[in-house]
Amino acid sequence: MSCRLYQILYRLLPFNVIRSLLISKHLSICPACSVDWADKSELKPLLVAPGDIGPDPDLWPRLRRDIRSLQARLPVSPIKTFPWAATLRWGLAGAIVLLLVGIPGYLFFHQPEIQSGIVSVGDPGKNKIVVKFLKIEGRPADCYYFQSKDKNKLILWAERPGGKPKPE
Amino acid sequence: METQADILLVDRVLQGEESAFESLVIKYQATLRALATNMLGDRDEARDVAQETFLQAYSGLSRFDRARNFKTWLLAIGVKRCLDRLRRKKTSWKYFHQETQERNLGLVKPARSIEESEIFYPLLKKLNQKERTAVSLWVNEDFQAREIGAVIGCSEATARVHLFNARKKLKKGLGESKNEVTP
Repeated sequence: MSCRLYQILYRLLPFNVIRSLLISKHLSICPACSVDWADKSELKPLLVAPGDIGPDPDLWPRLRRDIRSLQARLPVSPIKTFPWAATLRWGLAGAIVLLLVGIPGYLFFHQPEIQSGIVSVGDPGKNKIVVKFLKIEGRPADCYYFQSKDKNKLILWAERPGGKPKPE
Repeated sequence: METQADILLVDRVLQGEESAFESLVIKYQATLRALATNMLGDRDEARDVAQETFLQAYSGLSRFDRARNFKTWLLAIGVKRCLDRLRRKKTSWKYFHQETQERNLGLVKPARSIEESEIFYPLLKKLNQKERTAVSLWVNEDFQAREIGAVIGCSEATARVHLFNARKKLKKGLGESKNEVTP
């Protein structure tokens, strides 16, 4: 590639990674291109060098005074911190999140365990349902059945023992 | 070698030896003040920044990562303080321009230091803060892109681009100022 092409690419591509590559591969080492870049000898007179800075005899005394006042502000005995404080904090935060998510989740998904002895007998076309037993959480449930006007529907209602059937 | 010597001094400071910190201050005060002067354009402000930087370095010395170079770490603090100061006060080059105008009207004493010379402002004004920092570190400290990046807080590639953009702008500016001087 010619020098001009490198320079055009540098101008056109606003990506530092590519520009850096163009600089290190060509622009900084090519004698023709380096004409466009100021070198150290040209820039030295423009900048303040450490050599131009005289010693500041007041700096250390001022700094020492500031350091001493800083030290005076520090607590005499360091605050004792529990070494596992951060872990404990994160653990607590985790437990709170778990509780916040877990309790509603448990309530939402937990269904009372229903055991039933419902069996379907007879032909698939003319099923006959036999209820042998119905238990909720291991105890015999109160059972009711409702026959709606629709003769094809039979509603079986089971409640925990002692509960009352909801009015229809 | 220099890094090892600095780390030894840092260890001594952490053990409570105040004179070790004085050695670090003596060693780096000129470097820091020169960089701050080049960034801020004001010797007095640069002196204040140097003091603030050393104080911040002292209070953060226990957190200093020994894998890093102390000088780079210190200059990085200095650069941040300069940028904060410029952001806060919004002095920047607008302020200097006003001062230059007042000087021309005879309201302010003539330039008393190199950074207030006529050629200094217009040329460095063309650079942004990062470019000015990069060029100052390259010229004065002989820093390469990696070290400049560590001080400015950017990647090596970005630092290289800042430096080259600065050099290009200054070359162009130098050419223009020469043309203005020679009719």
